[in-house]
Amino acid sequence: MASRIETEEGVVVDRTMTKERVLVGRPPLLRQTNAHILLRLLRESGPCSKADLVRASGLSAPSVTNVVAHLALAGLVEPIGEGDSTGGRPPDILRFRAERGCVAAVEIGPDFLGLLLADLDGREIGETRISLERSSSSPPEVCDQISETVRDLLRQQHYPDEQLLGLVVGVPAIVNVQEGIVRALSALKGWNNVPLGEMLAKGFKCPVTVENDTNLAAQGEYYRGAAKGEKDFVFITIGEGVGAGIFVNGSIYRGSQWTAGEIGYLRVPSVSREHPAIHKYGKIEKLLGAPGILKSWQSDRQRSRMHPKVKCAADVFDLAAAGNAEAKRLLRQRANLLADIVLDLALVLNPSVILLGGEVGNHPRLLQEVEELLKGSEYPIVRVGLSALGSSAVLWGAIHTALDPALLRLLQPSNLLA
Amino acid sequence: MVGIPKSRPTTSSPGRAGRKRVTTQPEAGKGTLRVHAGDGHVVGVDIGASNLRVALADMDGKVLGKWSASTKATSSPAMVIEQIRTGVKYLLEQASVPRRSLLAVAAGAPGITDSDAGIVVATSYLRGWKDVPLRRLLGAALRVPVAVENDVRMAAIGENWRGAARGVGDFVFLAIGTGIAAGVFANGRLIRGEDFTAGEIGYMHVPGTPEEAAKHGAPGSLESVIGGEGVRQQWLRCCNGTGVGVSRDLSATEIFERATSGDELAEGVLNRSAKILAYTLYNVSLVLNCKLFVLGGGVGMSEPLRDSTCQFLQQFNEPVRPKLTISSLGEDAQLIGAIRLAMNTAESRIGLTVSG
Repeated sequence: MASRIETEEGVVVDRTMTKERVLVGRPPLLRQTNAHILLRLLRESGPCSKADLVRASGLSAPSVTNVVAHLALAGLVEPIGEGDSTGGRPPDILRFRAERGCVAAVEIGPDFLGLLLADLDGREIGETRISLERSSSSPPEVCDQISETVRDLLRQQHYPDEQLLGLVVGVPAIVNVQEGIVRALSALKGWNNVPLGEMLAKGFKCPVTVENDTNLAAQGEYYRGAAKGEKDFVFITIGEGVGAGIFVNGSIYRGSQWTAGEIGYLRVPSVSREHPAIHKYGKIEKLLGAPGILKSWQSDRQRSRMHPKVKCAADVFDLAAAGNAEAKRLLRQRANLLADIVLDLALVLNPSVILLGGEVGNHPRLLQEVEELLKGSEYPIVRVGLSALGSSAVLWGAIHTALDPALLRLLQPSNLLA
Repeated sequence: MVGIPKSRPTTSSPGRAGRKRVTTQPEAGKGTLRVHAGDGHVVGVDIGASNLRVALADMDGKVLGKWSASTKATSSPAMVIEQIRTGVKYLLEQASVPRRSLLAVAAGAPGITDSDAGIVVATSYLRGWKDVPLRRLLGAALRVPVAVENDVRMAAIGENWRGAARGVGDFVFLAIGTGIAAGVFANGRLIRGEDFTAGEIGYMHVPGTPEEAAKHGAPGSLESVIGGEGVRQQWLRCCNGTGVGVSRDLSATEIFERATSGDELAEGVLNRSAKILAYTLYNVSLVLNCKLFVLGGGVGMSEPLRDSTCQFLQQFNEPVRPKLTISSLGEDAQLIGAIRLAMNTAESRIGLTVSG
């Protein structure tokens, strides 16, 4: 039970139930706090004058001048000429130098590597996607590919290596985020207890973070997707596998052993029990994931030659939308499963919204069906919606996970005093 | 585990109760200032379906006295407030504590409670309780700061402070009585949810619970099988099936006890209940990945139920196996949680005085 009290003097008191720890506002900390606030204002408002910053922040004019001088030294703001005069000397207009550095996002998929590069304002400056061969996807090989591709991307955008200020990697696995260890990645061979963070850190000077991909997708939806402003929500992804990213009080909740939200193993009435092993997909995952839906469709198809051929799971739901009876039956069955999962999550967490994402989860027909089923539930209905970022949610979540710490590091007292 | 460190009064004069004092503590090093919470007192209240309980404690959390009354005949909000006022007055007199020494009160209610607004939104256990502004009413009656909270969350606070989950930041307190609900701690804080209904798992569907939706206002599907009344219904169905002369009028706990002495019918009921409870705990632990479940409530504290549930959980062979433990505070959990919350309320008031 920690509480933070921020008074007008910028004093931050951090109280915990177990330890007493009080952080007082010495000048360097105050400067960092104020620099962070001014930078945020500048990012939000776009180019403006010091007088605008004084008005918006409530800080004194000398304080703003002082902090802006430090921000300029750190290369984070620059004057871009004079603005319109309101009588006196025309004011200098300041701008946030988002190109001062960049952050990189990497998504390791079952058969691809996705990469995204963004400036300090979170604007995309480059992206690429390469396919991952199963034969060459051992941890060291993937690390090499990541290092190479990120460097290529930096070179193409004319960013020197040292301007990369953070790298965040999303993996479809349980991750010990603190130590950067990938516990079990079932989609790739040889990925058990891999110290990916440590391995990647050898190739980069910036901090490297490894995180579960669904948790990152939830971050993405929180910062720039369908969960903006929602402090307590759940993001369910249904693609190859099934998982949930849980937001509690504005941040990801990972549980005691990093496995919170592993809903692929839930026991719901419509699924018979089966012993799951950690390296295997759970029963729900087997049915609800894209391969399960395709498998059901193919086996139905063998019985009835009337079934149209499909390429992916979403095609089956498209057929249901077009009125195909068999596809409708299959959709209804999967929606039943999903409604049970949604209900479980709603009962335990009572989130403001539950978002559905991933190749299968993001289908509007599935959402519609689930909403109908939930209306019949005895429990108050939870709001369910679709992911707004689709397949780019993981990468954007990774960018935003990298951004704030990167900015804070640039604003460290030692950097500001330089 | 006390929010603001306190020092004992250094002089023999107690000073004015409740007044904040800043004293220097020689042992903490020169110049170290500490907030002294004074010699104030707090009151914890547990509003139950049949009983109202009030406890007076000092600011170290030491209980100085308890008082209780029946709410069976007198459950309207106004009457309960009046009863609480009577209880507080009695306890203060008994302990010779002056009225001005009372710093804060916290009350737990058996229903959905908006702890931010201090409103008991809905409860099926007390008649006439809908959108009751309990904090405002109690504040007006007692003229001290008041905090209100759902009773199961209150019990979770109690277990976290002085019970089976002492110092554990991530755990679930699961109360099984007539109904079923959970108080969830995550990262050392209670999860309350968007509408303050987080943990209302009595409605959960697991293998073995009825598939058809329950009627509005009726117990949830899980409660209807392993809540106190649900277990009794299971038992009665078994008895009817055999027609042998067995004692029909048993409580859930008594039925579970019979199972351990070789009664096959009771064993069947225990196994079915434990398996359904195991599925429930398993599902909750998958969502939250919590290490510890504390079982409370009249049915939840049954040892045969806990032991049998543990065996089922082991058979599931799940990656993360939560620990099950029975509440160590028992029926006092709510009251002790209320005392803790009242102490927090008193301390945050003092905290505000200092920084303001």
